[in-house]
Amino acid sequence: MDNRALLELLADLGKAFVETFQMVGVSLGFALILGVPFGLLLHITDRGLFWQNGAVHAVGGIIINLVRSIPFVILLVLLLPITQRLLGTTIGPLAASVPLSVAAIAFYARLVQASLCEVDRGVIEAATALGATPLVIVWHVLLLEALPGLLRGLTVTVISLIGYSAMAGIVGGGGVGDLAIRFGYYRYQTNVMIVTVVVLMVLVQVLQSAGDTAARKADHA
Amino acid sequence: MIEIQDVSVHFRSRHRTVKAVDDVSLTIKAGTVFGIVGTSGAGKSTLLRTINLLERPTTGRVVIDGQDITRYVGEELRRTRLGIGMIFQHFNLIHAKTVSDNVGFAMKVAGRPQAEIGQRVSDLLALVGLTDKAGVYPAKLSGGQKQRVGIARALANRPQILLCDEPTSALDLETTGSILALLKEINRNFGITIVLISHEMAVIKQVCDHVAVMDQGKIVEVDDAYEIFAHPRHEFTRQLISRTLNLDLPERLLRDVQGVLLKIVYRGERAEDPILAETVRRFGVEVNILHGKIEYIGGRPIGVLIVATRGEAQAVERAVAYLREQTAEVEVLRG
Repeated sequence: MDNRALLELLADLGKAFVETFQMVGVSLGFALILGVPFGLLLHITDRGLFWQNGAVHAVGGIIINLVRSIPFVILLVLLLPITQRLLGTTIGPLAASVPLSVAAIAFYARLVQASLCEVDRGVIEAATALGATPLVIVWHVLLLEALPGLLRGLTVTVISLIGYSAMAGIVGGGGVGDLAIRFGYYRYQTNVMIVTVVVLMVLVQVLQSAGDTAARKADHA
Repeated sequence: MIEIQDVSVHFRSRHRTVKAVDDVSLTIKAGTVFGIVGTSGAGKSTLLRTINLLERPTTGRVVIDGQDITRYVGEELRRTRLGIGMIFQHFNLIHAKTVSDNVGFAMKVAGRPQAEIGQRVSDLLALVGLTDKAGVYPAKLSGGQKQRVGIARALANRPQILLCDEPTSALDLETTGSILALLKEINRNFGITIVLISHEMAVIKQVCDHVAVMDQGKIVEVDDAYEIFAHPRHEFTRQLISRTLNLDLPERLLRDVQGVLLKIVYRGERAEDPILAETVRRFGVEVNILHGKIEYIGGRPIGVLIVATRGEAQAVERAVAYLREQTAEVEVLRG
């Protein structure tokens, strides 16, 4: 490969990564903003907790299961009309962020719920006995005590989202997955595929280590 | 004063209703240490938790200083709880907060200003002897230290009542002693009413002024701690106490020792009188002490002796009669 081709590849690679980061960043943001409250709602409406509500708990659970039971490729296509209505287009990383966000919210909400279940009920009871309001308990006890688990869950979510975002290339979302398929598969430029995969491998390793470190720092148990 | 009036707590499962607390009435005087003792599953923890409504009574009322709190919800309930501290068997500290933040959390909940919190937290940590652990996370503490943090947290908002749910059951014997001594000191110095539950009579013996004995959801006996130990009336109380006061004699001794075997219980000042010496002198019998101990309940002694008496049959009979007159209880273990 000559220098010009290498430069072109680097430029394409750079653009693809920016697109991937956009997709993963937007959907991760929604996972945090909506997935955490959703998981929290599922948890505190569970039996024996302070907003116990069987109906809300059951309906919430079903919604999450529905979203999670649809393979992501299908979800991508299924949500095209909604994306069109929301953004006026179905092409580009931002458009691909819509189905990614929906999947990310459902995915992370379940992980949030699982982490919150690990919080010792005795600690919640102690805070209740102190006269803490539900909001204080949520913030100072539930989320704080579950923080290491929430961070580990977030790491798992980011890495899954990177995987999902590769599929977004199918609906014109761009990103590294799209690059790898276009060059590596359609144009038989295996080296592009290899470079992309290696970069992704490094990225996942770095993210996992960062997530582990953050979780360890937050863990005082 | 805490009044528990005809309180029942029922837990309904699919097929049956469990009466965890079954029509209990109790009056707990302000400034005293009140113990509730019973085996596990007796309902004592559930009963304790009705006092701060962690468990709502199915029927009956909980009245604190003349206020019926049973129907309190929301803000009213929250404010009532600020006046009732609670400590737990498993401490229930927030793992992700340091010792001082755990204690400060209680005051933050009460809406106290930050400046006041800082000062009070260091006073409280000094009180429980953990000044040097202020910045440490609970995971680094021993069980006894964790319970001390629990106590400091429970006291942070200057409550009038302290509920203790098996506070020493996860601790070793020595630590248990020091935690109970701290609770007693808090009761004496601040006049805080303490309600403590335990399955161990030994714990009750060390701190309680009054005791309720609970079995299968019901209170079977309530009295001064001393009276409970000195004359247990209910069979279940006797069983509980026998574990602390009982003196087991080796089989061999029971078999080989000659004469009439007696178990003598003394109470109060009589425990210090030379009754045995007097018996020997008066009736000319031989008295051989096989086993004995004196327990102090709230500073008052209860003595238990096991003796073998030998001599003329008539003299022995009169000696036993005399002992019955002079002591609280004489039981003939073997005639």
